Amino acid sequence: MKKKLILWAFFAVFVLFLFLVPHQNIKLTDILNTYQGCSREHLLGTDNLGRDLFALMVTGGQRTLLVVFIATLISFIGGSLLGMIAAYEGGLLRSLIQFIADFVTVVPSLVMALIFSALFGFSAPMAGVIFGIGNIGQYINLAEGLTSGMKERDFISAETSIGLPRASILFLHIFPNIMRQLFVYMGNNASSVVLQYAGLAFIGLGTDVTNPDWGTLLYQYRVYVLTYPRLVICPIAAICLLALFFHFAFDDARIKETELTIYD
Amino acid sequence: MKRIAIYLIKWAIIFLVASILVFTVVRMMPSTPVDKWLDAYHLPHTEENVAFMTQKMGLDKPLYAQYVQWIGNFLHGDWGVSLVSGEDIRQRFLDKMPYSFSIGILGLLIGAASSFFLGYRAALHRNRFCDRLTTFLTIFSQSVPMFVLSILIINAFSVRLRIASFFTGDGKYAIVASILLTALYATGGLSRVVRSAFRDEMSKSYVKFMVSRGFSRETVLLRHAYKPPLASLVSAVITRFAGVFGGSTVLEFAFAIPGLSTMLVSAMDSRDYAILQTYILVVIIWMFLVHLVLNLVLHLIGARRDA
Repeated sequence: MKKKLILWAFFAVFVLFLFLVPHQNIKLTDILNTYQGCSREHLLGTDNLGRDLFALMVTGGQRTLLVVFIATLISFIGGSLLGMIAAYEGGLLRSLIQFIADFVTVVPSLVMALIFSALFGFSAPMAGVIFGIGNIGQYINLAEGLTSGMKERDFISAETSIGLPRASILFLHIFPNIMRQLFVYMGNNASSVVLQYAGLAFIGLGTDVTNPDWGTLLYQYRVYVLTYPRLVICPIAAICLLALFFHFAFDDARIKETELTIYD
Repeated sequence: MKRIAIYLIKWAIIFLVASILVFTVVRMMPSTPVDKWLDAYHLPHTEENVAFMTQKMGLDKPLYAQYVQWIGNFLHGDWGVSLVSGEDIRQRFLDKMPYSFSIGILGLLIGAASSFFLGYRAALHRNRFCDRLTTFLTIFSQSVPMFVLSILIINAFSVRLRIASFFTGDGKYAIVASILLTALYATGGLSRVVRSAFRDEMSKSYVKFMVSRGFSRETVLLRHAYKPPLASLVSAVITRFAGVFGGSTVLEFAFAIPGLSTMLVSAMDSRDYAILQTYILVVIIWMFLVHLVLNLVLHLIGARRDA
């Protein structure tokens, strides 16, 4: 528990830092001072155009966090709500919701991203919405499975028979019981969103040089991996650390099986 | 029988809804293939030019007529021609498919096989090397993007060691590297699935009694308790196979492999409606086949689950 507090404290500091720290204008190029090492003016040095790498990294971080936030919000709320309703109501509604879950899982997120970016232009919030919808299927399946398990329990049928409203059974009695597993999944999902977004930026969606993303930076600097490794290491480290944070911050040791078997 | 009928109807509806959806959505895009075509040939956008090209691409007919014609031809096996290059789309798909499919399918199968072995070892010896390895692989595949590793591999093998050249020749090294990377990334998650399924079996009483009677621990697991882990592995692979189409994008991009995703991206650039629509339909047909095959396999293994 203590470890987790430290992790979250780090994360809070990191977020505050990202949004509050003053940085140089990211569009400012300086052809005379390219490939500078770390210095006081340029904390992480400058790149091939003389842009301040620190400013680029900070802006990329803000955009990544925005994407992760929007995506997990949409898929967590939408997915667990739909999944719980599907399992609890059953019947036609359940088939309909499962149909939606199948459908969004079937269509690859790359295709969705390509079409959406052609329709509305590619921006960080848009990417968040695309990933949010694209990942909703797994949340629906998970919430549905967990809720069907819960529905069998005695306390739920007791509550139904004393006439508790459905909404309060669902949200006050079922949801708190399945919340823990959903949160663990949310953590894994958040880290995969970080990677998906970096991948999307890497293959050139949203390669607007004025809007730096960690993936975009990595694509632009990939040729300097031998000559200026600093340019490549910074985005890689940022992506990996953020993904690792989400993985561990939502990890719940209590869920892991602790019972020993005859083999141990 | 009734189940099969429901299953088929469900997929027919998915197919229909998706075809209508994608048909309308690609036509809602701000710039048309006519604009893009004229741009590509540096022709002025005069009314005459636009009208001529619109007619030539067959985009002047009413939308429902276009839809009916397209879907009818598609179901008859005539997938039409590319609006931009005039190539036969089906031929193009068949040319590109081997690349994307060999990466996705072989990678997944290798990954599944190795994860069954790793998951079994991990369950057998808790907290030993294999167990740690599976945990590490899971965290690794969740925190290191695939394209980062591919850049490092290209750098290490073709720039530093000069063993393999990825961008010249027939590209066999690029494909082998992509398959192995796909397998590596699949192994992480899948091996944990196998491990937890084996652990579930190990806590059951039949395993406990067999082991106490003196059967060897390995025999009990591999001969008698393999079905549920195998079934969970197959179910997990179902969802992964969905990604075979889009999943190799980053690899195709990093290793410059001329696969389906590369084709999709260029079709998007030129707003080639015909290819975009066909792509989605092929994805859905592919998903249908995958679900069908894997449901059959699950049925044969004899551990039916809700899939």
